[in-house]
Amino acid sequence: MWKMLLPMTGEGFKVSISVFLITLVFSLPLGVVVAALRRSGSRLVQNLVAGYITLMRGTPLLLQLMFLFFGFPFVPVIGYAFGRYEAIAIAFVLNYAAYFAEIFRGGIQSIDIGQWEAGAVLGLTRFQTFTRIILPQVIKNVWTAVANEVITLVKDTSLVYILGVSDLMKAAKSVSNTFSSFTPYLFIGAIYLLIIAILTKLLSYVEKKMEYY
Amino acid sequence: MSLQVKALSKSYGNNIVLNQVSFVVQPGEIVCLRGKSGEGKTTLLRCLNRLEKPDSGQILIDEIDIMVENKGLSIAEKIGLVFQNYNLFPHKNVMENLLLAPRLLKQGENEMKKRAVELLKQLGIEDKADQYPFQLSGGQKQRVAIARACMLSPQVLCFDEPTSALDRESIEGICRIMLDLSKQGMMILIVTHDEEFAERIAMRSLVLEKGRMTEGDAKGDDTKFNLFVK
Repeated sequence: MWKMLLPMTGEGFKVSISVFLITLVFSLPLGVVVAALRRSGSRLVQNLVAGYITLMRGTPLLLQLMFLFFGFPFVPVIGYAFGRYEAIAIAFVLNYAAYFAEIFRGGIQSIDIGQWEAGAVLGLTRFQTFTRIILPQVIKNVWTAVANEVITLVKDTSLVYILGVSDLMKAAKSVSNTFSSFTPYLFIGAIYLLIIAILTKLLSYVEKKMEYY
Repeated sequence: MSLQVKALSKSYGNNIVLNQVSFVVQPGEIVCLRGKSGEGKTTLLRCLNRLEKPDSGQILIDEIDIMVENKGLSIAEKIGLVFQNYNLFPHKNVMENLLLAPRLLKQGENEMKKRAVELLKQLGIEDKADQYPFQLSGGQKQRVAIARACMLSPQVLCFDEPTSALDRESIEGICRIMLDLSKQGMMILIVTHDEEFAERIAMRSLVLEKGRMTEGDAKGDDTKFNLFVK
């Protein structure tokens, strides 16, 4: 069993970690942009962004994955057949960006308006004020909430099984079916636990680093 | 070189806050804007610093209308504001608070560092350069805010209720600083409801009442202030 489980776990690990990293790298900045757009002066932009967030948070990620891969090719005019990994990346990034955007929106609102005004009086543009004064404070304020989402993301990567991709969970399932044993699931569970334990340590370390003020 | 405010008006809905307000401040003058709460003093200060858009009127510094000028740097070089609650950047230490804007506005790094050190020394907080705002007292925070506002050498420096959170000793300190700055030719405009403080520091007072401005008492020199600080 282990001869089959270990290499499959290695392959599955690569897939799960790739989904995790790609999602994180793209959804975090996108979340900041979406949060900033929610404060846009244009009512149309505000409504579009609000609609996107409602859609992403109001439907299961599993359904979004299935729609992008199986359903999107049949959408009139804009329909397109994404590859498995493309569909996974797009669904995860769009879904997590919506959650991050809501976290960042709360974080931006928590910053005293006086910080914006101080930037303006000193001659800075709104963009300079946002990136250099507001955002660093927001990141500190929302770190715990973002860390929670990051931990959830590790576990959510197991949803990619629905598109037939061999992640950690799929590896456990295959070996479990072959050997009629629950042990592969326990083994994979331990790996998830280990990843999350390492991440938690890392996130706490960064959190402490930010506590200088 | 002077600050000229001409027929400045501002209303919020039907509430007329500033009604054709006009006045002039000359170089080296310390002028107090007095008036009861809600009479538009802070709104006037916010209009001068472009935090509020007036409905009409002109704000001229050195004959340049700062409402027409659209470069942030040019405005920051003309007028600065020390907020009532200072609005220091909590994630930056004192030196970084001073250097953040000049760096982003592409001012010469070495020159600005030198100026920051000079200002901190002048304000008596040179030993606080590496500290963060949360480590400072109210009076020290205010000095940092003044230093930050002075980094781009504005011709006009506005203060919003500078004594509201200070003890007597710090108030005396701030009086000395204001006097020093005015001696360097800076125009100082102070919004305050602290009558005692205004009496002591102001060379001239302007009173805002129901959106209209009237000239208060003029002292013309700083002898009274000197008596106070001794």
